[in-house]
Amino acid sequence: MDNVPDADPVTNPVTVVRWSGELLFPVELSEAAIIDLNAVVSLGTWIYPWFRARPHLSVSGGSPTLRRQLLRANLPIAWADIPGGGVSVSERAALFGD
Amino acid sequence: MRILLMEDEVAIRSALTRGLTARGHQVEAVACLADARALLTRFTPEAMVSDLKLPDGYGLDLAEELKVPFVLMTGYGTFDDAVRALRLGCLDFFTKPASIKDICRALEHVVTRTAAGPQVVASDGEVLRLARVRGGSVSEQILQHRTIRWENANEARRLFTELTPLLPTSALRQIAAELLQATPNGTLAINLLPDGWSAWLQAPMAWEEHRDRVSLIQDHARTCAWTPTGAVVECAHG
Repeated sequence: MDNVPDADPVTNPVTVVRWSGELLFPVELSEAAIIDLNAVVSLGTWIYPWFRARPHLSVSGGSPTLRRQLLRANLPIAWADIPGGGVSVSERAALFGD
Repeated sequence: MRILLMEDEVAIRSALTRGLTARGHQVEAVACLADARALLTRFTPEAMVSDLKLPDGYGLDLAEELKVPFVLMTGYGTFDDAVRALRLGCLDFFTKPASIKDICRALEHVVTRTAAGPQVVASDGEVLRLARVRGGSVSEQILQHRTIRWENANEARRLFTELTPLLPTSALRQIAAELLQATPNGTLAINLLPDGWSAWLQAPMAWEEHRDRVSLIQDHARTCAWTPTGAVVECAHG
């Protein structure tokens, strides 16, 4: 699994980590201000407490099925890639000083 | 059956909710598409009963997204509306006021369509064959199966990899993984057919402590039964 934070201080001032694969059982996951779910096939419910313990995180990408799953779970996630539906990269930087 | 009811007229909505609930259905009623979409984040209907025209759009639009059997009611339907409804799998199309009896009769088709007929398993050496009665004829399919028992989380995780030949889709892998993590020790039987998949978890369970897990599995499954001694989950696939 590509699980390494991807930060570029010029083009991408906010750290992004890309998760991937079928995350059905607990594994060690890297944490960043934005979690990129584009390469994630599925997520188990074991991840819900992980997100609930980190209400400051944003999420981007993910299949419609995956996004619906996370929305239905009422997780405290801000969607970084929905205009008006989450906290943008610049807003997050302003709010949290990233 | 879990039914989504969309009707903007309060009196009709209320009457249909009472009538369907009295016949044993679980009904969630809304007045418009926006409310329905909000509701769908926590409710997975098996069928839908909807007014054709709603304040913010057409019931057909949501039917197209949901892909569940549905019944439409309208005060002023057109021929084109009826054709589109039929193409989308509409069970019936009523002019208002529609009787609760007629709507229930249409919904019965959902139950009939999904109900299994008589079936028998035959052993042929290592192979199990399943014969089922469907629509008056007998269909025969090879039944793949596996039963595993685990005593702790590590063992459950190891056994999951052995189940993968019986988990051909990511949804089925997700269901199996959730069932394996629902209890520290238990027994899980899985059956795989060309057109369906089922799992039987046997373990003492307090499902009210697993709401996220139950909700996720229900989203993928065709039918589920949750009991204090385990669960049975059935899915269609392929």
